[in-house]
Amino acid sequence: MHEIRKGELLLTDLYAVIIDDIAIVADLHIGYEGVLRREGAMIPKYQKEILKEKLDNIIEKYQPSLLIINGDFKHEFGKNLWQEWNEVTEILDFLTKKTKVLLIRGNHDNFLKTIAKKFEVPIVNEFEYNEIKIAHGHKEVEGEKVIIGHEHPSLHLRDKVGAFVKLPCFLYSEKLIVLPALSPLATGTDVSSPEQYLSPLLKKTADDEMEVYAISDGLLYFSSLKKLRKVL
Amino acid sequence: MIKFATNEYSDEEIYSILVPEIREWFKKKFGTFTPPQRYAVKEIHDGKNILISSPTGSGKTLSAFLSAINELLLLAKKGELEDKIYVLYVSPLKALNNDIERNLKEPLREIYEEYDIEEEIRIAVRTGDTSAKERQKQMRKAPHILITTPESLAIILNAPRFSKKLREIRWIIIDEVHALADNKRGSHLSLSLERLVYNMEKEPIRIGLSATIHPMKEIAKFLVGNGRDCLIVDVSFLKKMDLKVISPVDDLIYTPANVLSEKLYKLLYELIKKHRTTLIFTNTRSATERVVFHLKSRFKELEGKIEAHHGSLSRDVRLSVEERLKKGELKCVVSSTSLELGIDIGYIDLVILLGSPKSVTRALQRIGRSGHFLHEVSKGRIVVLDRDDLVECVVLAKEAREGRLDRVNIPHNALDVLAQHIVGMAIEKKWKVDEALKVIRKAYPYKNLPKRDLMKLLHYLAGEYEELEDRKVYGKIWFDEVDEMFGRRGKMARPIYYLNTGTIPDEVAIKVYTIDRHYVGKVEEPFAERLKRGDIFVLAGNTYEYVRSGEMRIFVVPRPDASPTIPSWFSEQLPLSFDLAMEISKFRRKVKEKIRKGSVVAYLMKEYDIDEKTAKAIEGYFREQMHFFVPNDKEIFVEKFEKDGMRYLVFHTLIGRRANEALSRIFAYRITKKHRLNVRIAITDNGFAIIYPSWKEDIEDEELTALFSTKNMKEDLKNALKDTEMLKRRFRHVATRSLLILKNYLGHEMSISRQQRNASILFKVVNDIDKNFPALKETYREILEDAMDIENAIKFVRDIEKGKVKVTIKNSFLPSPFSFHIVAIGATDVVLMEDRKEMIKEMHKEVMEMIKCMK
Repeated sequence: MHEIRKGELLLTDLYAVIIDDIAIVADLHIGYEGVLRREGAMIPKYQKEILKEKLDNIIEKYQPSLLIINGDFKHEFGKNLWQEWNEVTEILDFLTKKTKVLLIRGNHDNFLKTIAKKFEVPIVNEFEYNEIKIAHGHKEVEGEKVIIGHEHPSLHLRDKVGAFVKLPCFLYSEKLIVLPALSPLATGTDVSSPEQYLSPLLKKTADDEMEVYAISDGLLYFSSLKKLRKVL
Repeated sequence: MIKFATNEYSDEEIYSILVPEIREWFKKKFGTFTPPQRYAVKEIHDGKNILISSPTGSGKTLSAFLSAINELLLLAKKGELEDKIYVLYVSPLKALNNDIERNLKEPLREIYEEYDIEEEIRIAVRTGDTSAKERQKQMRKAPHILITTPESLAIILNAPRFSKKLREIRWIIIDEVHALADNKRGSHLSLSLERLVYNMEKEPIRIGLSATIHPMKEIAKFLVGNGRDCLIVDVSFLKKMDLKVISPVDDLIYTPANVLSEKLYKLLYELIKKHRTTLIFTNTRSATERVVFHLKSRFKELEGKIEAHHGSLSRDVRLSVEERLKKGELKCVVSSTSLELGIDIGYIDLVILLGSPKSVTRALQRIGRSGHFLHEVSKGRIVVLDRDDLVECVVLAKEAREGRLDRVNIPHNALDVLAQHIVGMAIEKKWKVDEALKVIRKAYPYKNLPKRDLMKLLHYLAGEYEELEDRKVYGKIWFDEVDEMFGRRGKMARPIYYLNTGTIPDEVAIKVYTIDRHYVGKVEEPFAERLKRGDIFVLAGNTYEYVRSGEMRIFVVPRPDASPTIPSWFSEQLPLSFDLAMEISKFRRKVKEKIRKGSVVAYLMKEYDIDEKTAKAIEGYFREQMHFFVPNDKEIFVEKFEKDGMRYLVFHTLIGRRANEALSRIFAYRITKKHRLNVRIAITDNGFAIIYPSWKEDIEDEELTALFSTKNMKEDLKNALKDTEMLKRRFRHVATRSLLILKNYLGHEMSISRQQRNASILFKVVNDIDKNFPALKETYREILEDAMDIENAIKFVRDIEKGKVKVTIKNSFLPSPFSFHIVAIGATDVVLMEDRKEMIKEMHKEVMEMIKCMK
């Protein structure tokens, strides 16, 4: 299957959650390669085209009137690197031609304002829609139902012979939804190890009943964290 | 032409070419020349390249240096020594450099004390440890003899001013050539030498010193490069050898483990007591620590007289152990590989090899460390601890006594090493591609480098996989593809080259300890991350259960009888050589045939110089295996059985570990493709197993027979490696050597964890953008040809196709004795289904079924 309906939410294998005509994605980490390069790892530019394609697929399929980037649109903490500036500009240009965009501030999004202003794209700390709170999740968030990113959740699977795979996944409960990272280079937190969780909200409210939906060729339902932990 | 030296010169002939001062000094000090000196000194004097292999204590150093020192003294007497380097000495070990400096300074001091010679002959050492002050001193007044390492040589080649002092070198001496030729450090050095010689008007004389190695001609070609002559002096057979295989107990099967180790330490102690100084070699660092610990705690009089010496110990500790050895203060030193090379450790009268050294060449090098003088006998004892070891060592000892060595493998066309030198060359000047290619192909490891590989490498180093605007950032060189020219780009190339040149990758980071804090070994970070409590894995030939993790370390308990549950793709173990494996295969057939006719005990005692109980142990082992099938050089055996919910296909292919590493993955890949499942493999020197869950379908005999096909073996192996941890790990090393991951950049040092993470990101990206990316291509080459042995795997399968070797397949209820080790402690890995989406669906199904069952 490609999508799963959860009340008013639609989880999709395009790494997005859809509510009515709003699409929500998180953690693009544009410019990650540039940061690694400055560290001495000569990673060729890679993410931009893939991210554009992924975003384009979401827009084509769901025709949202609003696209929310739920934090960590770009990667660098400090001053914008040249590559980052160019790529953020290119992607915002690409998106704003197709739909309205809202940026939610993540922990990597310092100095984003300058670029966003050019495209008249608002940046906010959080956004509320029909009593659903959307925030990046690196800080505490108040709300009955919250959608966060930040965590880059992934499911680590091992079979009987020892084969190992990591799959990006959604975590879902009535109160909290965690989005997978859109960046193809993001490494993820193993959802079955709560001691590794990063987001304060997830740490606090993660309960064993959270459901896991992994993205491979479509969405794969992996039951709840509690049950998974027993068999993995 | 490469040929063996045939002229053994007399004392008079050699004395006649020496200046009087050296002649008199030599006469007084030694009286007469040693065999290697008789063959070498005069030939070097006549300008010939030479490769010398001779035992410890045979005057090797002077064989190499005497002719050069003679010339230098001649110049010194006339006051004509210039301010430049005449002799370049390169060795793989910093420790050896200091020995050599001392060994040269002493004779010179003695000569200078005796005679009134005006000019001094300056000797200096230059390594990574040399201070800036000392380097400046060498710049102001160049040493006449420069002692260095391959890495430092590569750096001084690009030093703007100091490199000028290297233009008129007359003698290049490479020590321990055998320790360089078979790896990438050697490839690196061979290119440095050609770059060095390219800038000279006159070709220097090349002199190589090597341990016994086979074939010598290959090593000679490696030493001199393509198209140059070389004489070989091989007098390594001069020293007599006394080599025996011994077992600490009569019964290697049913003796309980604690009794076996009790007896082992007793035996070691007895041997140590009877000799003045004993050197024990183990095959792993953890075994080294274990042996020292047990000997110390069991025998109080050894306290303070026994030490460990291995690569993980700090330099100071190693130096102090070497010093105490030289002074004769130690009764015993235990080492893994670090004392194999020729550092001066003084008088050793017994070498013990604990467990098989896995190759005849290594056995001889290790045993050769005993008996300091030429006329003394090298005494070696191989102590075996299990029956496979016993059979292997008995054959090995015979081969060693008869001087049949296994062949050396020189890596070819390593693109990562070449990438470093291309950057170095570009810093120097502008090059025409063909001109550079000519220089590169002079180096023996690159003699067949295809031009298209070089072009592709230049393309990559110029950053041309990036859009134009980004090339400034990625490109380390400037490259004009139309005019076929390349050269330097920007200011960063030089510091990048200086700080990142070299071939030895950083070690993995996570240390493994038992809960009672005994060091076991190291594992890779990604491996440690995915461990779960209760997992059982193989490390250095033993099985352990994971308990918990701590700061950069994990804790385990030994589980000698448990089967591994998680693959550990890294192996610290020495691989059995292909040649020795072939000999053991023949041995198996002989023993089997003799047992059929009656008994083999008398034959073994006579032909293999072993005692009766050892011979009986071998016969017993074979008799048990004969209930199943004894695989040998004419017939191999495939065994099928089920155990603990898994199906096992055990292939008894005795072709050495490296060839088995290749073959096992090829067969596993063929099975995963057909049956749509993931499999685990377990590999040893003697064979391998393919393992998968019992609920999956059985594999018919016809299909197993059909696996032995030479069709697409290389491609199948590459497919089997795709996405594996082994590939990623090797890629990290290659990416670092290729200057894609810079350990040192802009004043920052990248930690191993970061290197690992960044390399895995790079791996993903490179795999997606270009399958022929040089670093990726080199990773596959390194695995197929260096880490594994695809050529011999193909050769072996071809013999089966031709019907020279037959395949016998049998089902059984329990594993045969020969398969115990394969199943229990084989190095494990997984081979995955090629269709990853399909694989994930299968894994999903499995998980959901398990969850359903839980309810």
